[in-house]
Amino acid sequence: MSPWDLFVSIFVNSLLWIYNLIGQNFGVAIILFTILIRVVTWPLNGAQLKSAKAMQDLQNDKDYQAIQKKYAKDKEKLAQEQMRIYKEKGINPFSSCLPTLIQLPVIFALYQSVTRSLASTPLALLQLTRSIGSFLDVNALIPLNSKFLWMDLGRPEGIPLPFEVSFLSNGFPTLAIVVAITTYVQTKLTTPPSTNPNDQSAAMTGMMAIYMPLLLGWFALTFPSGLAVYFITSNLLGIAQYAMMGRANWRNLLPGGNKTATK
Amino acid sequence: MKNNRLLLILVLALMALTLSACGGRVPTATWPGLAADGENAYLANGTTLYAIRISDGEQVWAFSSDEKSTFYANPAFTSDGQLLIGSTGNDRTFYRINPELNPDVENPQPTVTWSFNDAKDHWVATPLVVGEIVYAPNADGNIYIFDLSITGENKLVDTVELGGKLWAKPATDGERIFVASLDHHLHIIDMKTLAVDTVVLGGAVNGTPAIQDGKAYIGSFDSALIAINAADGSVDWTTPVNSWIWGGPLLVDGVLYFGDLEGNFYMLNAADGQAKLDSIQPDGAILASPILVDGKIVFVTENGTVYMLEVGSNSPVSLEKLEAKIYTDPVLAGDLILVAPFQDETSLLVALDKEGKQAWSFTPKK
Repeated sequence: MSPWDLFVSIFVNSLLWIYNLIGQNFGVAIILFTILIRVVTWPLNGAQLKSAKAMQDLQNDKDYQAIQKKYAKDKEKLAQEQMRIYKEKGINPFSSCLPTLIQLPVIFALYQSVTRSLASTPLALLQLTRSIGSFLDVNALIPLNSKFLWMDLGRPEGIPLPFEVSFLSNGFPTLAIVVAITTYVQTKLTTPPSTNPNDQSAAMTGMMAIYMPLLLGWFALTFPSGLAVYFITSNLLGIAQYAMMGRANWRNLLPGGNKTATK
Repeated sequence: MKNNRLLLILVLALMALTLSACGGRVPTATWPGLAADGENAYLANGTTLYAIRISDGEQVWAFSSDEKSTFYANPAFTSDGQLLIGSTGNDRTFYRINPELNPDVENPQPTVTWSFNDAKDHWVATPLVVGEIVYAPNADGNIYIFDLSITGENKLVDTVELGGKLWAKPATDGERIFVASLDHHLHIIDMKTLAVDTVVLGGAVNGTPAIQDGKAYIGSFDSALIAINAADGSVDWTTPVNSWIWGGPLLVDGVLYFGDLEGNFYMLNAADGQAKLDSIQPDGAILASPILVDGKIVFVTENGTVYMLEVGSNSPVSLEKLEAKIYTDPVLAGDLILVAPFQDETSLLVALDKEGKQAWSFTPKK
């Protein structure tokens, strides 16, 4: 078994253990598993938020702005000076990216564990039976109940429409829209205000607020709805975490809210 | 700024690609389906259904649907020699395909003569054909019943909702249809009234029951072979074995032959479930159902070995060892035993004579 397979296998076993514990509801198992992941990565997310805030503050720092103007045409010198300021202020420019990078394998592993657990082909079922630990009675668990609310978690979600729309073959994509909205809300809430019109970090965050909801919405539209349940739960927990830390920037949700906040 | 935007888009695209590569929308990779008539073998392998001439292993045609459907059920034959096969993927279409090619056309292709696409899930099971009536189980828990004698597109005459995932080919005794389900049930359907009698089993069932003398014999994932009285659904006997039984048993002269996932091959008396002979331990797990070849039992193991066993013996002979896993049920085609290795880079289908000598192997034309 490759290290990746082992990693996914841990996810599968955890998911199925929760599934078995709560009376065989795969949707609730995914939600609880997401909460577990969020709890485990809570310090990482907190560190990411603090780091992002520090980077944002730095963009408004007069010394930082001054060196950007001074060395605008000397990229190498600018980079050296930026690193000096990072060092002086104790900022690690990569620490805001690291938690995101750590979460990527989690997303991939969760996607695989959802599809592996639901085992929609004979081969997938065979692989599943061989990856489950002896602490679980596989025979009693199979087949997994993939129904949750109106969804089949092993298939892309959609509410049937009374008429045919060619590009919505699965029906009206409620979950994909909720995923896009919650991703947008989460990204906007965590965007600190910026007074610097040349703030590249703020501009990047602005782009992320557009692209990430579209990307995750597309995932939710095309991949098994179990993944969409993960995204929504994760987003809502993220929003809750930022709110609990007092970092949520609610005014960003209003049209022009970011500008108002920066005045 | 433009560079940053480009970088962001690239990172997100890479993320999308990685996630897509982590299994795809619907996991479609599984072992191939196989069937044969007097002339051709038909191999359902991924997005392609191949027709392969039995006499020399040459490709006759390769069929792919416009929707890039995936095929892995064993094809079935209609009374007029057409193929029936369901697909998985986005459209989940059930096809009837005329395998005869039109010689007057350049690059002739088999013709889809009818299709049905209202099922809600994958077609994993092989349909059962009784005259003009087709009983097609779907993973959505329904048996779709078609009457092929009806002209026009709508040949669906009934749908029997059973629930659970139906992956096994049904069996019949002429009066009833026996349908196994992954949700631990065996459904017995009266062919006239479509009344359903459901037997609760201890585990999921993926194999086709063997039927004889008013009894259905079925192996389940709770490591037991069970004999069920067809008339009332009562359990006649249950024999525990060492591991899960994946494929259906073969019933020959009152003896049931089947394997389990731990790699044991059993021979039980159908009358009482007692061991006829001690079980055999070949070289790997057994998922496929055995077949009867000239009065001998042929079975395959996951480790790629094809075994032949004399009736009344528990000393099998290894006919051939392939460098690939075998999960698909072997098929007898004339004098040849056809075996479909799984994910073999060199061949998709191997034909062996009854001594185990390889007659040909099939590699698709590019």
